[in-house]
Amino acid sequence: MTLSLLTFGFYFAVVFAIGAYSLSRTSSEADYWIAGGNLGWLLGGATLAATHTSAGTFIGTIGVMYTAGWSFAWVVLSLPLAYWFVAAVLAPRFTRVRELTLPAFMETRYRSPAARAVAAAIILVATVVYVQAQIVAGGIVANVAFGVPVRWGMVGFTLVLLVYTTLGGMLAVVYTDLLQLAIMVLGAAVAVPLAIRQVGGVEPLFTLVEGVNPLTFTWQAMPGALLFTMGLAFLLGSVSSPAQLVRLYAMRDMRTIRRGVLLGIVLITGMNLMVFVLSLAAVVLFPALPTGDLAMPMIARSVLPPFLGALVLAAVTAAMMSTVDSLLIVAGSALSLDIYQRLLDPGASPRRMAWVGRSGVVLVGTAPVLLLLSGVGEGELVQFIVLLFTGLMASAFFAPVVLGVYWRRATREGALAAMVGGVTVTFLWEAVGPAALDPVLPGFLASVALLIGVSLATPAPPRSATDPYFPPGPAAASLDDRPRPMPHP
Amino acid sequence: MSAVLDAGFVFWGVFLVFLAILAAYVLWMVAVERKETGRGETGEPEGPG
Repeated sequence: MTLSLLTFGFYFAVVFAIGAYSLSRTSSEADYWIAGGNLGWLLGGATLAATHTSAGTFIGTIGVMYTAGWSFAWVVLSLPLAYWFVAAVLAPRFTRVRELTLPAFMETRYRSPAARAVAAAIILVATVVYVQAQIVAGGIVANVAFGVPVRWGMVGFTLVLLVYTTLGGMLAVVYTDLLQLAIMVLGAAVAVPLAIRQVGGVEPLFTLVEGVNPLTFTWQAMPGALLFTMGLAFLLGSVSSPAQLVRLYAMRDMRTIRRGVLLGIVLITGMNLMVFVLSLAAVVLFPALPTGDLAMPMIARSVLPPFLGALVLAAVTAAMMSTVDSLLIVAGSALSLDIYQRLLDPGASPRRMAWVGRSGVVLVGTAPVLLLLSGVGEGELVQFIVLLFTGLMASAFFAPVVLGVYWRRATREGALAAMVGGVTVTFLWEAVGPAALDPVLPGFLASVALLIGVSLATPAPPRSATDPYFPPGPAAASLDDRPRPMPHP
Repeated sequence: MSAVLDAGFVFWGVFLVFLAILAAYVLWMVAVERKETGRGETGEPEGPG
C-alpha cells in the first residue's frame, strides 16, 4: 500500500511538472492543440503508441483473451496494417493542408461548416463513451492498488488528468505520453518473465492453459466472422481516429511521419503481444475471475513483488491516462474551436479562446465521470466499449477522410450523409443486430455507400476546394515542399 | 517444448506474420526515402509519396 502510494505519488508529481513546463512553452493556439506542428519522429511515434495503447490493452484486451483464447491475438495484426495505410496512403494527402482539428479538415475539404459541426458533435459524444471505459478501468486499478472504492478511484484519476491536460495542452500530452510509454514498456517487460516464473516456466504455462481451457489455442474459441470484423474495426478505427489524425498534423513532415509510424507499430504491437502472454498466465493463476477485466490488476497484486506490482499498476494507469488526455484534447478542440468559435463567436480574442479551450477540456473531461457516478455506462467489459468507439470512428470518418483526399467527386452532402448514416447504422446494429458480427462492418459499408451514392447525386464540389489535397499531375510537387499554411482559424 | 509447439500456428503465426509485416514496412520506407533522395539529387520533382 505504502509502496503503491509512493510509486503513484512520484508518477503523478512528474506528470504535473510536465504540465507546468508545457504551459510555459505554449503561447499560441497551434502550440496548445497540435504542439506547434513540429514534433520529431521519436515524440511523434511515442505519442501515437501511447495514445493507441489504452486501458483497452492492459485491462480490456487481456480480459477478452482471458475469456476467449489466443485467436483474439490475430485481431491485433490489423494495427500495423492500419498505421502503414496511414503513413503510405492517407498522410501524404491529408497533411497537405495543416489544420488544428479533424472537423476543420471537413470544413476545408467540403466547404461546409455543417460538416464541421456534425464531425465535432460525433467526436464529442463518442469521446464521452470511450473515456468512460478508460475511467472505469482507472477505478478498478485504484481499487486494487489502494483499496479505495472504484468510484473514488474514477474521480481521482479524472482530476489528475484534467490538471495537466488543461494546463499544458498537446505539448503536455505528448511529453507525458513519452513518460507513460516508458512506464508501460517497463511494466509489461518486467511482468511477463515474473508471471511465467510464477506458473513454473514456459512449458507448464502452455500445458496448464490448455488444461483450464482446451480451446485456447484453437480457432473455435471465437466465431471467425466476429474475429474478422473485430480486426476490421481496429483497422478502420485506427485509420479514422481523430486523436491519431491530429498527430499527423503535429508531426514535422512526411519523413517524420513514416519513421514515427514505424516506431508506433513496433511499440503498439509489441506491447499487445506482451500483454497477451500475461493473459495466458492469468488463465492459469486465476481461472475463476468474475470478469476478465480483473486479470491484469490481479497479476499486479498477487504475482509480482510489491514494488513491481505497483509499477505495473502505474503502467496500466499510464496507458489509460495517455489515451484519455489525447481524447480530451480532441474533444476539447471540437467544443471550443469547431463549435464555440466557428459557430457562436467567430471574433473571439486569442485570450478568450485560450480560456474557452481549457474550459472545453474540463467540460468533456468531467462529463464521463459524472455520467458514471449517476450509473450510466457502468458494467460493460472495457474492450467492448473500446470496440464500439473504434467502430463509430470508422463508420463516421473513414469514408469522408480517405475518399475526401482521393476522390474529387466526394461532396459535402455525401460526407454529411456518410457521417450521420454510418454512426446511425453502427448504433442500430449494436442495439438490435446479431452479436456474432461487430457493428463496424455494416456501419462502414453504409458510410461508404452513402458517400458515393449521395456524392454522385449532388453537384461536384468546386476544383478550388479539392485542389489543395490533390497533386496536379503524375509529376506532382513534393509533399514536403508543399506550402505549409499557417494553422487556422 | 512439446506443449509450446503443440500450440501450433494459432499461437506462433501471430509472431511470424507480425515480423513479416514489420520487415515489409521497413523495406517500403527505405525504398520511398531512397526514391525521394534520388529525386532531390537529380532535381526531379517528387510524386505523392
